Amino acid sequence: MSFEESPTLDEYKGGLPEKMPDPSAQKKRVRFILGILLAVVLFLGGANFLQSEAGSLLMGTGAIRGKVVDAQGSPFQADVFVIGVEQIISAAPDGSFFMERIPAGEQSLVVANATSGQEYPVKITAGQTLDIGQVQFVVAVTPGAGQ
Amino acid sequence: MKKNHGQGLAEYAILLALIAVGIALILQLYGISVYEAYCSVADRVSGGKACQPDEICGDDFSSDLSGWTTLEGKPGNTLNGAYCPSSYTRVINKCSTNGSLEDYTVSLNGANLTSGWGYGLMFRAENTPNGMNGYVFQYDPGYSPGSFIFRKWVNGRELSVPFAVAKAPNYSWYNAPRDIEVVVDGNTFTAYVDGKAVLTATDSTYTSGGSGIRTWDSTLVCFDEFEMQSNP
Repeated sequence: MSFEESPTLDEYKGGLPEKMPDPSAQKKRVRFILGILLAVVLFLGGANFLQSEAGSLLMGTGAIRGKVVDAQGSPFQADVFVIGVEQIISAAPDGSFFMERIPAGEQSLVVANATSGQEYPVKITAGQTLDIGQVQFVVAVTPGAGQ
Repeated sequence: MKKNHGQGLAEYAILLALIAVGIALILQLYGISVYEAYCSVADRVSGGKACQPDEICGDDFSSDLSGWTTLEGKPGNTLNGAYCPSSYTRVINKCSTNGSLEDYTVSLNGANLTSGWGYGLMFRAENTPNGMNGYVFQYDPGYSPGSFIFRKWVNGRELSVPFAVAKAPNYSWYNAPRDIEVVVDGNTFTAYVDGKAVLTATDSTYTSGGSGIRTWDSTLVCFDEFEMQSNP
């Protein structure tokens, strides 16, 4: 504290105050706010990380099983994949499929032939197998026309 | 004393930095780029002059199609400054695949459909070993009763159910040159025809990729110009 900032004698003519001002109070306040902000930034950083591919893998993986049928309800040997996951599997001749190592969370399952596919939203839980039962694949006759 | 004073300044600097990082993280969580947020504020202050769009890629079709890669079918030809693709093709602009372009505005000017089921303007598209991933805006008189639609492609397959449809049964689809534009902004896509918004949709599957053109079935169409710009 500089000489100019020193209290005058007038300020103490009634005696010393019961509680002396704490010169480090403002610094403590700033540090408190800093701590809160740091916690918020860490929380937001964590939320961003969990949205990333690496983050979703960290949350664990699950599996999915089901059976693909065509418009008539007959088994369909479709290609099956999850958007954002590299593996593509083929359903068995009876239409059944089982896919592992799918990142936990909201995912989109696609059943497809060589040119078109149908998307089904699924929720994968880490360490569990989701049985979605039958999923229908309807062949799109003409891409872009009249489906 | 001087040491204490300096320490306070450092703490204020950290405080400001944490606030800045926090705001950036919040924007990222909601799919908004920091640059766009800056531009939206700066444009209001400067009267729209802060963030002018830059041309990223373009083709006026005055020469051949060497700037394009064919993904499917035969590409067709350029003639008298117009590109007339074959009736079944997918081509992607090479320039648009350089780097990982995220947000942009892509346009097809003077698009004149004379017959067939329509054409599409691809965006955030990339060719992977499994096939094309990306989106397509379709000018689609064949999608009953005539519609503007957004489709998604995954591993070379076109998902049969569009993720957005605007039906336009009484629209004049043929023999009128149209200016098609798609604004790709975060997870929101807005399609314009002749400057009028016809369809808006959101999807978060793909965050970057190039642009291209597709036709199907018996489509006969010609385009005067392809252009990609940064968003204003």
